[in-house]
Amino acid sequence: MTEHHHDPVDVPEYVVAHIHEALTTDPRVMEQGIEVVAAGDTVVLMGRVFSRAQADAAGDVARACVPSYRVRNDLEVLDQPSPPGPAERLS
Amino acid sequence: MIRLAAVGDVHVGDEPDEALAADFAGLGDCADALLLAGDLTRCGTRRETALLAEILERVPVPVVAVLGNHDHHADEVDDVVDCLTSVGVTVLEGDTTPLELDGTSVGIAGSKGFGGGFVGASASDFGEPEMKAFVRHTKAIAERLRDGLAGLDTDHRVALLHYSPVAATLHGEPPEIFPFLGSYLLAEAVDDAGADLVIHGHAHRGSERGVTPGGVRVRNVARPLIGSSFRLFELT
Repeated sequence: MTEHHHDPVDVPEYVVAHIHEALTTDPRVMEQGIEVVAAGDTVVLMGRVFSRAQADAAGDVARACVPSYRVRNDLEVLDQPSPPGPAERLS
Repeated sequence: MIRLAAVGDVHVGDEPDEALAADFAGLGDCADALLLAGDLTRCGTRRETALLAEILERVPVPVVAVLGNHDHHADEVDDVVDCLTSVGVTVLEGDTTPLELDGTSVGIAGSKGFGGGFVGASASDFGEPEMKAFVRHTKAIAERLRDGLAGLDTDHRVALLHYSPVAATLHGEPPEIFPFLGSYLLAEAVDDAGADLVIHGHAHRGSERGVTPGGVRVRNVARPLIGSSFRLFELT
């Protein structure tokens, strides 16, 4: 009989995959570009999103996926865009 | 000289994007046209599209757009296109539009594009129906892009895409997902037909500048990557 040594939810690779899927499909987030890192009992969210509400929702979604993990939400919010900079001349 | 503003991945959601609206409303001071490289909404709903249209109808220069994968998610693509068209946006999917600006013409060939990967690590038209359909979708898009560019009789020609034609502008993304971010078939079409510039988005963590194997400049203007509401290009 095959032995199961780990609950899949506690394997970091699966934790990351499940959170990625949830962040992509949850209508409050819908973002594929968030970097998710699982280390020990902590999950870290990194990258840029478009609003504080979207960043907060991403944290909530991650916590709902893996309630036994601590979620550190390091997402940056792109709410104050910088000037476009000088035009690139293409000749 | 033609001045183009370009951005992709503005991802307008359920709330008004006031910063984007303000920057776009001021485009008349620095650009002759605005190119939008897909993922204009978060998931292509009617509310998101309506909020986007409110922003775009106040842009004081011509707007040419392609859609992205996010704009397809709600399966309401026809409604998205109709809404944007109703406020004067030219939405391209496998077709072209010429712009005559200050005595100079530029032709835009636009398409969402699709994935498949890059030389040495690309999907093939082989095996299960689902895999063949995936690759054939990209092939069909590339063929229409090639035909569109070849048919343009303008001073300048620009390919406007969502997916990337080269790996160079994806660097910064995990290499494992490159096949979902673009295809060499798009670059091959551009090189075959010729163009001055390729604009794309989709890769938020990618790189801004690349070049096709045939020497055409490629620019990734995904908004999270560039950190501003648009990039400016002058075609001389």
